[in-house]
Amino acid sequence: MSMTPRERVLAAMKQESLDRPPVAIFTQSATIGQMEKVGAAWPEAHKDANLMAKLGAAQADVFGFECVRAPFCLTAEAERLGCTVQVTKKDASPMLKEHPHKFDPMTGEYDEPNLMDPAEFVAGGRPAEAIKAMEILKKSHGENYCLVAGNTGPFTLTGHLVNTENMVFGMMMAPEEVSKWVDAVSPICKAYTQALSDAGADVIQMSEPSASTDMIAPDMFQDAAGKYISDVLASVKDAFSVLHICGDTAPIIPKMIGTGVTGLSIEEKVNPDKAVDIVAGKAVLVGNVGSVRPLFQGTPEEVAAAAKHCVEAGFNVISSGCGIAVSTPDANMEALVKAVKG
Amino acid sequence: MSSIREKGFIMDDLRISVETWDIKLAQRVAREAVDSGIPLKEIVAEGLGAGMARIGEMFGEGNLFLPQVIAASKTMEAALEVLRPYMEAGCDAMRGTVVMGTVKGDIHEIGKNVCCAMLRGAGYLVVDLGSDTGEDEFIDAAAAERAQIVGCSALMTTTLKAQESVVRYSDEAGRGFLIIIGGAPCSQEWCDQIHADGYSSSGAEIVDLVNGLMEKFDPPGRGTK
Repeated sequence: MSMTPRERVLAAMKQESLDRPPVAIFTQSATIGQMEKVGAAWPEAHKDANLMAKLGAAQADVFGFECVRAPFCLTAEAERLGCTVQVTKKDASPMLKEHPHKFDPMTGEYDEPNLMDPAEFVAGGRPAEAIKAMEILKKSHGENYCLVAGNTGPFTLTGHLVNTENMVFGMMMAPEEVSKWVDAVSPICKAYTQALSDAGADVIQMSEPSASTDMIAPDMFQDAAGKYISDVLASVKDAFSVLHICGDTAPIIPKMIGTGVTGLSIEEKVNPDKAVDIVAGKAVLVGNVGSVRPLFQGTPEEVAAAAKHCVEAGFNVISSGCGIAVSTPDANMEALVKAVKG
Repeated sequence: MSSIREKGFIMDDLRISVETWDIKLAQRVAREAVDSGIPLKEIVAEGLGAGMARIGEMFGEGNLFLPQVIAASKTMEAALEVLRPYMEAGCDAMRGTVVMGTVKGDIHEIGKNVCCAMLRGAGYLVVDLGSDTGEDEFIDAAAAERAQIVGCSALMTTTLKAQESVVRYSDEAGRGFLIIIGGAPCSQEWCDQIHADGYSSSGAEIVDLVNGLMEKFDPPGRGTK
């Protein structure tokens, strides 16, 4: 008897031997094509649990990918904590408009991080809708599909609250002020991660793009982000943990593994063969077909070739390397599925 | 002032202040340089700019990372702020004018800000339009500032298209400037596809790109002064 998509993804997360890896988008998965076919679209699907669940299931329902995934952005937590976010477009991700806190290493002025209680945080705003969406997806798709929940890492979320450029500048001028903030944000990330798991998520994929080598030096990774990831993500109960970081992660892959997460989701800026070599079975590898090229801007043939490269290299879950661009053509999404499933 | 230091020491301190992101030193020595009568062009290009160029080089080689580059940029910007009152009277210190901005729908500014600092360090007058910049704003600013080059940054897959719009609208307006693009999801292929004039993959490359374009600067449609 053939495996269900759920069984296949669970087996992949345990690094069990498989005839082929699952093809499942663990990063942002929604496209305009899916929105039109299932009748759930941005911006409403960012704010309403029922629409969020419907659109989150669309990668499986429309194209045959082997998981469901929600929500679709990295701004829900920031909005809940007081950032002004523009959530108005069908064809573009929500946009942070204003950072609510002062953090200025040039003048030495820093707000104190007096943040919402974690229990209050998960009870309202868009994070609460995402938690509810997991409960809905558990009922509608949980039998046959793994539920992947996406959220934001503490270092990145801190940047949203205080201005990322100032935070990165602060790593040089006042690292103790940065730590104070990430210390304060972490319990919120931890509570949200566990709440998503408790609501039925099988995998929590936490994105921590501000810890990328494009943003901080590799030797800053552990203090800025790694130690927090161990606490807020790797320790999650009853779910697998996947850490997503963009850019060329080759220099920090060992540190990412060192956080203790189950899996790493990385971009195609690390060649798939090289990634598998570095990881050497110490974590599940998720990725890394290029979101921009080939998925958004390339042809179905280029998508198929990139997907096959990931399979041959030995990635455990075949996914996009970063969030799917919302205008990615249907034909390229279909080509990704077909290249892996046959 | 008790004594006037030799010019060489002042220039060294300007460079070192940027390389070590010593903001107070940069501000103090910039003031000293002006008081000593060193031409602005030298203060910027051979003092602060030399420091920024070294930072850019080390960034390009992978020996420095963004936090250090931002710290050096902020240091240079602080020194330029000291020089600004004198610059307005002597804009001929500048090698050309570049309008920079992050495209509409995108608020990511860090990479663009680093590029602005690199260009300022190289002696260009940079007009920074900030983030979420509409096509018209780029075109109007380029005309008002008589810019030779317009730089459009996009950090999201969803905002790449806005770079294409800037090129298209500018062409329709009979542009008299060159357009360069950058940002994580960009590539040379994308630059070629949308008929932009240049692509910079990082802050370390932008000065060479702009220098190269300035040498052969001759866009159709540019009027004479």
